[in-house]
Amino acid sequence: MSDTEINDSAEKRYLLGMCTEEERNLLEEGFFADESKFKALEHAEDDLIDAFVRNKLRPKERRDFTAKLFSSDRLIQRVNFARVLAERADSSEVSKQEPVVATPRPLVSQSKAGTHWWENLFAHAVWRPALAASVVLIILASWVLISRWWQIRSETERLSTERAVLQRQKEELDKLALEQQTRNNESAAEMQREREHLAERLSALEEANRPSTPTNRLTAGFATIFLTPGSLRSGGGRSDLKLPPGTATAQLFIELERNDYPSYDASIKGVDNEQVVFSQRRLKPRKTGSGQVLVLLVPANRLPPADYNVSVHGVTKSGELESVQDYPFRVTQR
Amino acid sequence: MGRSNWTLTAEALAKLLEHFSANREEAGRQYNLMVLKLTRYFEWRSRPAPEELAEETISRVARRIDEGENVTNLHGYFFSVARLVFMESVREDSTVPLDEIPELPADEVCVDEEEDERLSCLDRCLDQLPVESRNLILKYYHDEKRAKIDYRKQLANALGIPLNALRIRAHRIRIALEKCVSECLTHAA
Repeated sequence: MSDTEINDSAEKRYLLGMCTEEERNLLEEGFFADESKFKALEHAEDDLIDAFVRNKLRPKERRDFTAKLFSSDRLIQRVNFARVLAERADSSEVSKQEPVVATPRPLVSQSKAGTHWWENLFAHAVWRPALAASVVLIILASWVLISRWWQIRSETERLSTERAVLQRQKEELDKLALEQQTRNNESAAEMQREREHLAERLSALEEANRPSTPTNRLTAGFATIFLTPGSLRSGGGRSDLKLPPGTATAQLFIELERNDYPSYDASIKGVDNEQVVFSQRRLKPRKTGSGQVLVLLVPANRLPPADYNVSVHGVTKSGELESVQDYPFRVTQR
Repeated sequence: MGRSNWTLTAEALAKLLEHFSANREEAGRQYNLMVLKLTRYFEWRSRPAPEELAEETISRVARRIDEGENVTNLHGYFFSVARLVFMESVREDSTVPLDEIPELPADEVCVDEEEDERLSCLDRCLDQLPVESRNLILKYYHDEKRAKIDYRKQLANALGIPLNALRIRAHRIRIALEKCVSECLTHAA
């Protein structure tokens, strides 16, 4: 391509009148029907005028164009304008600079139809460093957030596991505590049984030291009386309990006619005032040479000299009380 | 068909506009564009008084439509009528053959007696342009020693637009400047 301002396009040849009639009709029919083809001719006219002003047309082209000028005042005006424009463009300091973007191009209004907003955005060198920095910042922030999220997630899982372990430990401890409580209860029951057993053995030892005939026997600190079924307060067979001064405890050996109950309740009541001075529950009968007896150990100060009655009740398996026998006796002081 | 005494009435014009577009605004734009095309056609065909010939063409088309002729391809119809008017004009007129036109140096053609005023008006009109447009037009028409197509391609790349878009933008600014300078000269006169 030569260094003329426009190539040998159909538009140029048309404007210079260098086309055949057929070419001309075809081009004219085209620009009548298509606005873009008409615009192309207008642009070609600009280029032709500039080439003429710059004296860059071939001799024949310049001659043909000159002929056109004679018939068009409009073209003459355009040529005169092009001449001053060229003069000003050549003398301007701006035009002498290498083509660079002097001011940022608006991102919206001058974008070519069909380009996307991001293409316009990345077209400007000014925005690129800021965009690159923004992208890096976003990536760093994302990395930090993801790392922190992962840490929190791991911590949550760990805490859940620990909670489950602690729960299991608590359940095991509760179970152990329950078992321990059960064992404690059993131990307490065992101890109670043991105490009762020892008490029985003590009574048995005391019984072994008692003479064969039921008589009052005085031991140091103890006063003993044997009560049998059908004893009377007065006359022959009456049971008297003598309490010398310094006696601490009165032992009452109560003989049972029959042993029909697993345990017995016994209460001592004054005959005159019907007041209960002593009672004991769940007494176990003891086997002696004379039969089954109940043993009551009564503090001597509960028994001032008076007539008393020992009421014995049998305790059934269901816990109900059934009257067995009354045993009267008299307390005197020597 | 010679030039008749038929005048374009408002009713006929309305019918003609309807043939351009149902939208009134678009019809007006296309009508003005057609007037420009017709004027250029006759001018590029080196016909004297191209505006009158364009007006004659419009009048004939409007009359045909007003008389009830069914015109389906309006642009093609305009072209046909324009060719007819052109041929009539050639028969009526005689132009100097090209080979009889003396070859004159470029600087002897279009001697501008208003060059100084024109230059002054151009400076004034350039100052009225946005900075970006002013820089674009001055760079676009700067005469580089290298091939202009390469320079303008470099200019387009610097602006981040295709070469054709640069050409369209420069043409638009140039037309606006020409109009501004013309009005400036008219006021100065």
